[in-house]
Amino acid sequence: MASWRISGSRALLTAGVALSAVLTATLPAQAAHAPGGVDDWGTVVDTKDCVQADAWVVRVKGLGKILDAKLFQSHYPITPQAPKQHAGGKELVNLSPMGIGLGKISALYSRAMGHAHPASTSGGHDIPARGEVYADAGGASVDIGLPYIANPAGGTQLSPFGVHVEGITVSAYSQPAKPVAFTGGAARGYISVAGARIIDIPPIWAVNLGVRIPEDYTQAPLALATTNEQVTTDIKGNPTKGPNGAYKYDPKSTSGYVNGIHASVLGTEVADVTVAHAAVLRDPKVTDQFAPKLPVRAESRADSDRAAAPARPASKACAPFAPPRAAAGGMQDMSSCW
Amino acid sequence: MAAPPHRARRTAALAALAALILPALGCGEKAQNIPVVKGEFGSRPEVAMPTYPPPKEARMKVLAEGDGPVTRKGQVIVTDVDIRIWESGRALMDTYRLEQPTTAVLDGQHVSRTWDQALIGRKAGSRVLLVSPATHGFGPHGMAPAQVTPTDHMVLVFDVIGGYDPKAQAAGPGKWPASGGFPSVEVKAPGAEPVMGDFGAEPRDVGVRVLNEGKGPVVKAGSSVVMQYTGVVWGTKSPFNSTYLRNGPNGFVMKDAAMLPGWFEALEGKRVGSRLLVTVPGNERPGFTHTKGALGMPKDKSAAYVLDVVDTRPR
Repeated sequence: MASWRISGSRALLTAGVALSAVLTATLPAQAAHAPGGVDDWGTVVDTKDCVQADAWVVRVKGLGKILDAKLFQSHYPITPQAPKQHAGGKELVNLSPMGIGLGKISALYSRAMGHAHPASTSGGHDIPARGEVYADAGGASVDIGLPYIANPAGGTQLSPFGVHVEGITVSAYSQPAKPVAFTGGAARGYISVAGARIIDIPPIWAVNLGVRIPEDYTQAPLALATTNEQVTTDIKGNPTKGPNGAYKYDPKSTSGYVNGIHASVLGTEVADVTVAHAAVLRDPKVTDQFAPKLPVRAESRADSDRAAAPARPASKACAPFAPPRAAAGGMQDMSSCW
Repeated sequence: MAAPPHRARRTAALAALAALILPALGCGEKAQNIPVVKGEFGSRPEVAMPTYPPPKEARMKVLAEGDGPVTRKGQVIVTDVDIRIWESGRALMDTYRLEQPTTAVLDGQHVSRTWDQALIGRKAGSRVLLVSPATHGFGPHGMAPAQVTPTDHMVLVFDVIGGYDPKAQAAGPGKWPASGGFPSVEVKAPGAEPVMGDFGAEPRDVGVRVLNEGKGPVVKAGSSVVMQYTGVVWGTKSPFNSTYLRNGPNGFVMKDAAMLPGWFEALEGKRVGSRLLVTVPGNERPGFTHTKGALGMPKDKSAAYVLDVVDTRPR
């Protein structure tokens, strides 16, 4: 049996002779990505700007090899992989042209904006707001399967693991001198296994609601899912930690992300999928100076679960404000926070 | 007295080699305790978590080397896996109790890149241990799995059944006309999905027609079997499930309850390399929708399958 650790000159000589064999038998598996949870947050780009936002509707590689990893991704600042701050469409998108693939989705959107907030949740112009960062994503109907297998008789998909949600929406919003606020929910939805509806998702989504599929604990889990998954991060996208080094939700954090549904699935094919993701980063050291100077109503934690459009700043200290070129013209701003 | 030149060169070479290898093997760190894994290949492993803190970076170890072909980049890997959390010892998910091996597509999108290093270059039949930060232990791009905190660490034990070309098949192209109550089958090109047609009356019993006689190992009850397959509801053309339209072969446990109705009796005793046409009546297993491993079919419908037996391995 190969050892976890090799030491000593004899082992060294052996390793020198059979270097390739040893390296394949016992080695630290090099992570291909940045350490921490940066990738959970999304794509953190190297920028001197003090805010970033990322959003996508569905994240999983097309099982028919027909899709990109992230569908309808938006990012602020824009990147080659996410060249838009607003993405989506009203039409029904069939991601399973042969009846097997990823699924069907309709009326999808994602938005990522820096130094701005949206006029409303239904669209409209971005309203410049210095130091603010906002992201949201959602859709009218999402029917995703891993893999998606249409039911020839109609009705619930036959996928080994299926997610159906209607009216799903998530948002992450961070304003100067305030902690990040998340929303997440859907009108209705269910999780199915091979054509059988296993779990109905309630309209009001508790934060970080864990779902085991099947729910019966005498049976082995096929999948684990979390709805309205909310995670706070530092300004680089790494999860916030408590004194013991383990992740801890930080109610004062100015950054983080929310996933509408996050599911990890075994079965015939192993996969991990998120439906509706919104993430923001805001450096308070730079942006808190843009907070309204007038007294404002103290916000409670419950405000983070609001379902309405984000309120405009109580003060107009940040607006009207000429937005940076990045926000106004869709150009990447790599300079600074002015 | 100075060392002879050749000894000095040898010492220098050893030092250079040490500088190269030791950091790569983690020898510069304090010795890491690792989970104790017991059990045979193919059975759910018993995992005892150590009291030491987990390693900061992902690490892997071949616990037992198999005797099969070496898995290669570009293949999909059919494997059993047991997934736990280091900090809590909590069992997360496993394919053993599901009786459904899983197919891992190593493109960095379905599962983490750390899986590549655990699963590529392994001999089929190997048991491999992977310890990884949660963000690099399961999902794509460092996504921690659902219900796992981002700072946790995961312990994964793989039993590698084998690596397979996504288009692997048991036989080449061909045409098999309808006869004896079986529909026709056509495979137009190497790796192409078989197309069934010319359906007659619905079957009353499970029927098996051997389209190609395999010459490989015999498929036995209780073993793992790897197949490429397509299935249609009787009389229709569009498959309700097909590995050809997904990522390649899937693995199964040779138990009746772990397979779709009709498969077990069709497969038992056949050899690797066989291509089978299987017809199953709608009342073969009344009310059946899916297995524990979520292998499903339309309820109470007659169906026809073309099964290409790609591999088998004891478990």
